Formats: sequence, C-alpha cells, structure tokens
Amino acid sequence: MKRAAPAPDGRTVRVRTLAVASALLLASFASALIAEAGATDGFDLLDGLRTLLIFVTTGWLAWGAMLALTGLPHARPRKRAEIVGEQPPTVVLVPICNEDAVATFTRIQAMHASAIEAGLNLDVAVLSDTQDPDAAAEEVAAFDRLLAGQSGPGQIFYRRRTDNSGRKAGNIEDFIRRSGGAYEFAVILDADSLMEGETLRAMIAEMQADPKLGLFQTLPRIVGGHSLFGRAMQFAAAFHGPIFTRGLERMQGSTGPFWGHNAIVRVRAFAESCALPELTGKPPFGGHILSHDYVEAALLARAGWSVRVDHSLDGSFEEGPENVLSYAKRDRRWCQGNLQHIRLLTAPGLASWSRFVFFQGILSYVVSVLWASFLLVSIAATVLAPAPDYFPEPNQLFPVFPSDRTKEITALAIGIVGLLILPKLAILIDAATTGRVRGFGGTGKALASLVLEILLSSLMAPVMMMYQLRAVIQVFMGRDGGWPANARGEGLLHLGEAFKASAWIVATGVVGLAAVYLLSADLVPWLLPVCVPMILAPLLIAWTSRPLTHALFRVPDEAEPAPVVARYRALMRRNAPAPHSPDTPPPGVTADVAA
Amino acid sequence: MIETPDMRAARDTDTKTATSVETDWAPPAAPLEMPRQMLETETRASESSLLRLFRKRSRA
Repeated sequence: MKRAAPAPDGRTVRVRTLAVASALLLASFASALIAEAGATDGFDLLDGLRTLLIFVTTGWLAWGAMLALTGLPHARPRKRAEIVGEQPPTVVLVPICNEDAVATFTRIQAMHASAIEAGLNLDVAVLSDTQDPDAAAEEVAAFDRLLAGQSGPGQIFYRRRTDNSGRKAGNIEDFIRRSGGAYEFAVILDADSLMEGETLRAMIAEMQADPKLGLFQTLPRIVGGHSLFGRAMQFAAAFHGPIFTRGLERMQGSTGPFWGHNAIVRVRAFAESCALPELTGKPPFGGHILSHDYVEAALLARAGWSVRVDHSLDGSFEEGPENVLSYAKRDRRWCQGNLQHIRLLTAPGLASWSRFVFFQGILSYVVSVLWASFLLVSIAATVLAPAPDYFPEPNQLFPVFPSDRTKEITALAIGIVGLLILPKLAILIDAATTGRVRGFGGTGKALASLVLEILLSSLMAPVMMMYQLRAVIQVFMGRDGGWPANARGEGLLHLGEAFKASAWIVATGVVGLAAVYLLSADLVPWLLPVCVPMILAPLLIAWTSRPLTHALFRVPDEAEPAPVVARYRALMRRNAPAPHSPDTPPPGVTADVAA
Repeated sequence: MIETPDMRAARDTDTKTATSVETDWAPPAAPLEMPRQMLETETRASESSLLRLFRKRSRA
C-alpha cells in the first residue's frame, strides 16, 4: 500500500527553520566582513570568490554549531515500550567481508548469549562476502567453534556468497529475497558491532509499538580505543555524540538517518522500498550505490515509513579506527559514497529533508576543497592587490590612507574558531551541571580531555583536510576507490609507514610555505597553523597511532564496561589465537594506505 | 553459494532447556519480493541511449 511520505510536525519545522536561518545569518555576517575588507582597494573577482567561499564554509561550521545547540536542551526521558505478547520473529544480520573471523564470531557469541539472557529468541545470519579462500576457511572454523559452544534458543546461520554483487546492500538483499518472509524485523550489524540483549529487546519493542516505524537507529558508542587517535575519537564520540544526535533527532523528525549498522528495520518495509538499483554509467558516480544506508533511509521515507534515531538507548557499541591512515581509508569510501549522492539529489519522490541530508553529506566533503580554495584565493588576493593610491583625486593636497581592516579580519578568524569551540564548551557545562562528567573522570579531567581533543583535532585538521581533498579530487576525476577491506583493530604505525603515506602532504606544505614566503612574507604567520602540521604529517600520524594510557580521554565504558563488552573481551582472551608476528597481520586486516 | 560442511554440534539433549542451535547452514526458505526502486528519471536513464541514437543518425 502506497503511503505519503511522513510530513514533519510543527516543532520539527520550527527547529529546522531556526537552525537554517541562524547558520545563514552567521554566514552572511562573515561574508559581509570579508567583502568589506576586500572593498578597501576595490572589489574584484578574487574578493567576490573569497566572499562566496567564506559564506559557504562559515555556513557549514555554523550549521554544525546549530546541531549541537539544538541538542543541548534536555527532554523528558521517554517511556520505553515493552514487547507485547509473543516476541515478533527477528533475525540479526551480520554482513561481513574479509574481517577478523575470530573477533567477529566472538562478538556474535557474546551478543547471542546476552540476547538469551534478555529472554529473546533471535536467529543470527552471518552473511559473508569474503572472497579470499584462507579468510573464508577461518570464518568456517570460527563458525564451527561458535556452534560448538552454544546453548539456548535461536539459530545461527552462516553463508558465503561467491558473487558479491551489490556489496553490503546486495548481501543483505540476497538474504531478504530468500528468507525475509520468515521475519518481521531484522537487526543489521557490522562485524565490529556489539549490542546488549536488553537493547535488542528495546529495539524490537519500539518497532512493535509503532506500526509506521520502518527503521530505528541507535547511537553506537565507540569502545576499545587504545591509541591516542583512537581514544580521542572515542572520547569525542562519547562526550559530544549524544548532544549532536539529540539535535539531529529534533531536526530530522521522522525522516531520520540510517548509519548502516546497530539499527533495526521492518523487513517488509525494507523489502518493498529498499532494493537499490545500479545507477547508469560507471563508478564512481554510476554503478552500485556505495553509501547505501542514507539512500535506504530516504527510500523508506519516500514510501511513507518513518525513520527514527534515538540518542538515549544505551547498549549499542562499535569500534573505531586506531590511526589516521585507517580513518582516511574508510573516509575515502564514504567520500565516494556521498559524492555519488549528487546523482540522487533530483531522484523522484524523495522527501525534501532527504534531499537536504544528501546535500549535507556532499558538502561535508566538498568543504575541504572550499577551505583550500579560500586559502589560495586569499593568498592570491593579497599578492595581486594593487598598491595603495594615496591621491585618488586630481590636484588632491592631502593623502588618503587605506582603512585598516585588520581588527575585523581578526574578529572574523576568532569568530570562526568560536563556532568550533563554543558548542563543545557548552556541552562541557551541560555535562558538569547534569553530572554526566562523572563518567569522564569528573569536571577537571573532562575539561582536560576536551582541551586536548580540541588541540589535537586542530593540529590534525590540515592533514585530514589534505586526505579529504585528495579523495574528492580522485572521485571527480573518475577514480573508483571501491570498498577496501576495513582495517579494524589496526594500531601502531612506524614513522616509515607514516612517511610513505603522507610524503605528498609534507611536500605540499613545504612548497606552499616557501611560495607564500617568496610572494608575500607577511602572510607566513597566518599560514603556519596550516603548513606546519602538513610538514610534520608523518610525525603526527605515527605519534597519534601510539598506545595511550587511560589517564587521558577517559570514557564511562572504561570504568564500567557494559556486560556484553566485558563478555566479548573475556571470550576473546579464550578464543583468540597466539599473537601474530609483525610480518603476518591477522587475516582480513590489511595495512593498505588510502590510494 | 558455498555450502559449509555438514556439522553436528554437541547438543544438550534435555528438551526442557531449549538448546535448539541448529547446525543447518541454510536459513528458512521464505522468499520476499524486493522490487527494484527507481532513483533516476527515465529521461536521465535513457540519456545515454538518446546520445547513441543521435550519433547513429549523425553518421547516417
């Protein structure tokens, strides 16, 4: 039955309008300052470009700040639904491809046991797309061990496709086409997902209680971070994530996100709405849809189902990248997936908010190009600025000095930095007043972690920008990055590896700084915060991959690990093979650098 | 599709404790149709075929 796409309620519309208007206002203010500064020596094409670029980039930062501010006000805790009557038939889908088999199946073992304790009867289907025969053999062996150790209700299946067409989306589609009719709901996980049985129970209850709900997305918390990079990301996700996600909930209403894992779908709704086509043309813009999750959420909304994210449901976990290179590798795929959504901006029948979500995803990557362009245009504008004309009028007696806009430009720079930092400080104040800081070591330790996270992300920003810039350029030049194996659990990088992966960034930083020094030495101090991290990229990448003691970036899950996480770790100590030599990484874990 | 070897896990034979972890590798056969969604307008999808037609006519 065809339904209308869910219309946003009045409150959602007001929140969206306020956030968009505020972001546009701040962007307009910033661009007015730049335009005024540019007009002192005549407004030319470069000034126009700078004005436009600062409008978009500041608008993007302001949008992020609005998301955080929207999420700050607290809501009354929602009464959780309970399963009524018999538990609806539910399957847990775990699509995997060249993963660490021991870790993956151990997670499944921990989750299955937790689900049984929560009184659930769940089927688990491990859907493998692994092509490497050795890795496939490891999966079969791990599946054997899993079955041998099981007791309790539920069935655990494993199947491997030899033809992995459609990648993850195709893998799930294959299962639903063959067996979807047997289930009302499907929980979709990644290989590194962990979920408490009680959380799975709550998700099933939410779906049962709302017949219009097509997909329910939890907010996974990152666990297991041990490097400086990994722990900083883990802290940021745990500290800021719930606030940003609450802001997202308020803005997205019933047209919420799907992040591809740690979510539950209504199988029939998914089957009716989410069989993704291949886009015409070749990759990267044609072919299979890489970032399928956002598209599936949009298609569910198009078919009239609501899609909700819930920041407050505990017990949902995932692992994160442990070094910059792993992050860059994953980000390369996400970049291509999001830029491919350019093809879908005008897809028929989508809700306006779905199109806006695609636009946000595209802009999140294009913005690195815009920031780099702003730097280049600003340098060019300064170098090519005409000499001041002190006597613009004929027969003028007294000279006219150009007005100095340094204060305004400095205020603009401080304002832009403020957009990044003030929301985080607001989150800290909120956490201190509500007591949430206790889980992060108290107010003092949380403040120290926050300051360090800001310093670290500021230091790494130019390096990350360069990787993103390269990814965007590669995609627009038609280079397909595909779906490389996830580098889960990778940690320490040696300086040599880091240098090999970032030599081009070092060269860009050196050449850039030298060029600016030669063209206009006065600009060098402004460019040091960008160029110095680029020149030090190998050191930063290697340093941030080093293990970090738990004194910094403390998160609640460290003091009191969730039961399913503790169970997984205990089982891993039993299941994990002998440590591998440095020359033979665990199967399915590669050290490929973003190409 | 690769079939895993037929495996029989040790089972708790006490029927009161539901230890029905099946060793069947195949999930239940319960097909569900998934109609392919349209994400491109027909104009867009047939652009390439229109271009080919145009080229053929130009060569004629």
